[in-house]
Amino acid sequence: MATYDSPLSRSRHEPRVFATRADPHPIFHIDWLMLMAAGAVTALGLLMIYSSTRTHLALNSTSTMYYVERQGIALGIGLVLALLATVIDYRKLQELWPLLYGATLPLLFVVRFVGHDRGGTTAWFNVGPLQFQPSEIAKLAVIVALAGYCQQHRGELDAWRLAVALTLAGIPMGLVMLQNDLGTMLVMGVCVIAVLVVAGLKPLHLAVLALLAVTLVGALISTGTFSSYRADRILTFLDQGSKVALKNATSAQYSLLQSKNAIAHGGLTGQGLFNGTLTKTDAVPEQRTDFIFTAVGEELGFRGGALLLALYALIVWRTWRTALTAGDFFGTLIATGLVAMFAFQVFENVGMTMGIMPITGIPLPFMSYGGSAEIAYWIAIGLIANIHMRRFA
Amino acid sequence: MNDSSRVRVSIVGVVVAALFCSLLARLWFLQVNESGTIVAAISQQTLRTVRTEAPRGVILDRNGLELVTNRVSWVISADPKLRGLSHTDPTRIAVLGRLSETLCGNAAKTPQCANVATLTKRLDDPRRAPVEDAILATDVSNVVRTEIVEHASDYAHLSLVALAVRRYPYRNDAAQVLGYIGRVNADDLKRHPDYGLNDTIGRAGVEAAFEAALRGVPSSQTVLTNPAGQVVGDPVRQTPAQPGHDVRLTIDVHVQDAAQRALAAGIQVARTEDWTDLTPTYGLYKYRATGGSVVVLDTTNGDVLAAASNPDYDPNISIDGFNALEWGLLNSKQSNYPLIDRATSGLYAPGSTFKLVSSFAAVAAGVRGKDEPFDDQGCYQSTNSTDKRKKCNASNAVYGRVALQKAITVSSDAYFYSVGDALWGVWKSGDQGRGNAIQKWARIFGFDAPTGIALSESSGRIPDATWRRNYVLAQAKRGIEPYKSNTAGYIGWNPGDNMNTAVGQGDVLVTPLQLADAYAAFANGGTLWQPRLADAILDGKQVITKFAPRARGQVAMAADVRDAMLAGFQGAVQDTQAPGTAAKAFQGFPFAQVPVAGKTGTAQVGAPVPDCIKHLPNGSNDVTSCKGDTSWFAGMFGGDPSHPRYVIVVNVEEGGRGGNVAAPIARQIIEAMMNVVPRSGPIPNLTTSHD
Repeated sequence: MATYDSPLSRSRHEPRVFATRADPHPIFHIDWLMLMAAGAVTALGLLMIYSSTRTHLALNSTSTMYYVERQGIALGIGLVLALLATVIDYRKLQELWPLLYGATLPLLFVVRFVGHDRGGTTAWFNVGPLQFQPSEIAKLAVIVALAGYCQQHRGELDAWRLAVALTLAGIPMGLVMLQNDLGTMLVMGVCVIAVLVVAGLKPLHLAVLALLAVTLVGALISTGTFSSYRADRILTFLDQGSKVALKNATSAQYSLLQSKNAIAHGGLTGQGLFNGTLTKTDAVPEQRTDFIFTAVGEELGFRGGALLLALYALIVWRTWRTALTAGDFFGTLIATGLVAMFAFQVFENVGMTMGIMPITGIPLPFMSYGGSAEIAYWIAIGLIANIHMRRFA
Repeated sequence: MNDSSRVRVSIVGVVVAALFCSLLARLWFLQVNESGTIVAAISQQTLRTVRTEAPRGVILDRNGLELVTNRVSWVISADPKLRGLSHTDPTRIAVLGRLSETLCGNAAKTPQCANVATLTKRLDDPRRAPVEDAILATDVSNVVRTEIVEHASDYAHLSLVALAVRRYPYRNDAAQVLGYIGRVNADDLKRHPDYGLNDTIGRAGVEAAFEAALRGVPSSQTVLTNPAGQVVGDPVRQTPAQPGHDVRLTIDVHVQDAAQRALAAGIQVARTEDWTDLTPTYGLYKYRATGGSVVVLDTTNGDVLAAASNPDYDPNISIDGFNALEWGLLNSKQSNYPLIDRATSGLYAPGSTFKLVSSFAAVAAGVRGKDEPFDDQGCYQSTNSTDKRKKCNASNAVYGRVALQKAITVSSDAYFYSVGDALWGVWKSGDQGRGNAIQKWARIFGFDAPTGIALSESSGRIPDATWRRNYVLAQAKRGIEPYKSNTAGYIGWNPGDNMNTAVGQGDVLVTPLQLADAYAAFANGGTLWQPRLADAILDGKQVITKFAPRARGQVAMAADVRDAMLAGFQGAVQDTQAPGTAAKAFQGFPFAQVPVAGKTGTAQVGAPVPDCIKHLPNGSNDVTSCKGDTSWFAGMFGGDPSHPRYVIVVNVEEGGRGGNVAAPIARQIIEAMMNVVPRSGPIPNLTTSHD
């Protein structure tokens, strides 16, 4: 392809800070800044999981480290897989992505029938004492698959190929939707759009896609496919102006009220680590998972919350920069998908805790309790590091 | 790579940057702009303040025995959030159901067993404030406690609390003196804003009088709770409880118990014996003996060694509040109002015991010298009055020539009627000072005024011309007959009024405590004590406040008059020849071991029993429509015979002759108190003694 030899990194706007192509091995080009940012967020995540679960565990005479230990195991697995994802040249995936994609679909399909149900969503395999959620891995698979397909047809993304690409993305998205996991489907959708845009999606096609999405959502609502709790979440989001007392609140209203209360309670400086009144008293439902940001907000305040957002911004920036400097278009597309994944998840998750997005079950990367997600994000970090350090190779 | 791709990646970057900016802006808005308003709301939903009353101080007798104490009771309390849940709430249904199962266990008939309906009633008790914990079960067993502690998560919103519960180990003994406790109500809160609703408060007796010392300071604990009501972490704020101080009384529980038993037994005798003493004409009858009291004082310092009132009750039933049935019974005529402390608040005509006062009045006013004889022919006809009806001795006994000493020993009413008549003449002649000698001496002896004991008490009444006039005018103004239609007929102070006063009848009213206090002043030579009930307030062993004996007056008694009277009082108890009115009751008593002197009294209340029996249409001897005489004995005993150490006053309402009912009760108490070997045989039942 004509542009293969002129990667985006050759731009005059991109000074090389950490390395030059003269270095002997790609590992010397690794993006330490991003790794440190991800590591810092993960450490903070473990701390906040501990903070938000310890009083409840103590009341039930369980080890206060219960959740931290389980998350630690997942982190260990995630770090090993991240290392593999870093050292194995990502370019091999250009040929292998159909294999990865093909392996993911049966998992997504089967989990519906043998999976473990939690909060209306059937998305977990029981693996011994741990649980495995294939949709988290599926997000990566969809990005890689789409990047691989678009890379193969670069500059030739006509309506037909677009349809193929959309089908590639649509099958796992549909399977995830069948698990009743709207959040993950949304994340996938956003990643797909981002990859397609960079891959050269025509504005007209984009407009048609947007129209399709709106129609689809409208159809889901009007046909009552949305379950009642989801309608509750959307109505709650749209109607935040009315004052509802906690004891009269619906489940979604209660979550949102307590979530906003906890964050607001933090103020500028926070109530102090382990000292958040609502965090200590388990007042925010699902705090250790989807609402982990409320613990940061309450205990560490605006300063801590802003620092965390800055760390995310750092990760996203380094990923975005990887997209810009990648050695090939495949790398650019994968990195773009991951930019979208991280950015959208952070925005949706933190946004819902503050009431600027509706409540969906999307974890906060590196922070929320949940092993599969932790593993998937660290694999993603490995992939980014992989693309980044091979930008000259 | 074309620039188009760069542009497209940059577009993604711009979108992402915008998202992060909006998050940061929202975070700032929520945390820095809005945070102030929600802090109060958070406190309300997570903080709970639990006030626990301090253990109430113990009440001790003079020897340190615990008259009132506390025991630990484990209770299950439910926080207000459980009440806030609707009746169909699954948590509420589950918690109450599980608790009921646990409380009842295998045996449904245990006292702590409560079904869900009962628990619901206790939880929703409308008398509880919305923020207050509800008590679902008291005195829960160890088995139940263990179950609840081990499965705390199944008992959301419930907690186990150890409460100090009042206990009255001597049950009915000194019940009216010790008083009882109740729960603070809305009226109490106005007077004690520092109390919480349903706190314990002393309602009567020492429990009420020493409330401030006994109560202590409640502990306050502010704790964090999670939405399930469980307490999280250490208390946010706490002030420790300060246990109440102990109060040591002057009561000697052994004397008190003896008094209580003897009084109850004597009243039983009065009710069950067939009596003929009033006059044989009416045949046999029984006294109603609706109640009575005993006061024992130490004449050297005014210490109240015993104060008994019958009927009595067990204050232990007050610890969880009187229920409607109990309260109704305690305040009913059928049970003769056991809550009333007759020793301090009962108002009675003192009858012949009041001759203590009339004797000094007669000599001091110069109407009758101490040795000046009076010819007692059984009845006395007023020389001043136009009413020529005779007033007679009990049973119209004739004593012949009597001077002061003998008049006291045999209790000659004629002697004292004549004194009252003579003093009326002096009063009528314009010498108010001398003419009102009885009234003056009554007040010197502390009547017509509160004694100052640390309990609620009545002041009594000593009638004179001024009182009579004000009383009749007031009654007439309120429309009460016969004063309204015949004001002029009743407004005057007549010779008969002063004669009745001289023998402690008519309008004279005293409390048993006042009478005992007056006899104590006589016994000790003139010091009128403020009866001392509380000895000290203690913090553990340490005395915080000591209540020293306090004189409230001095009685200047002419020594020779006092000697003659004391001899008269000794004769009344010891002289079987005269005969002394209480001599039969004290027959065989070892006076050498324990000297006893005293005076009986048989006070007519309204129409005398024989008269009202006479008025019954069919001539039956039904005495139920009459008010019987009050039976009295005022005794001085122990120590130096010339200055007896102790005073005892016994009275029995509608109990007939003082010598028959009150004096034998007094004897039993004296015997128990002074370790006299108890006589064998029944309580004396004398049908011929005269008053």
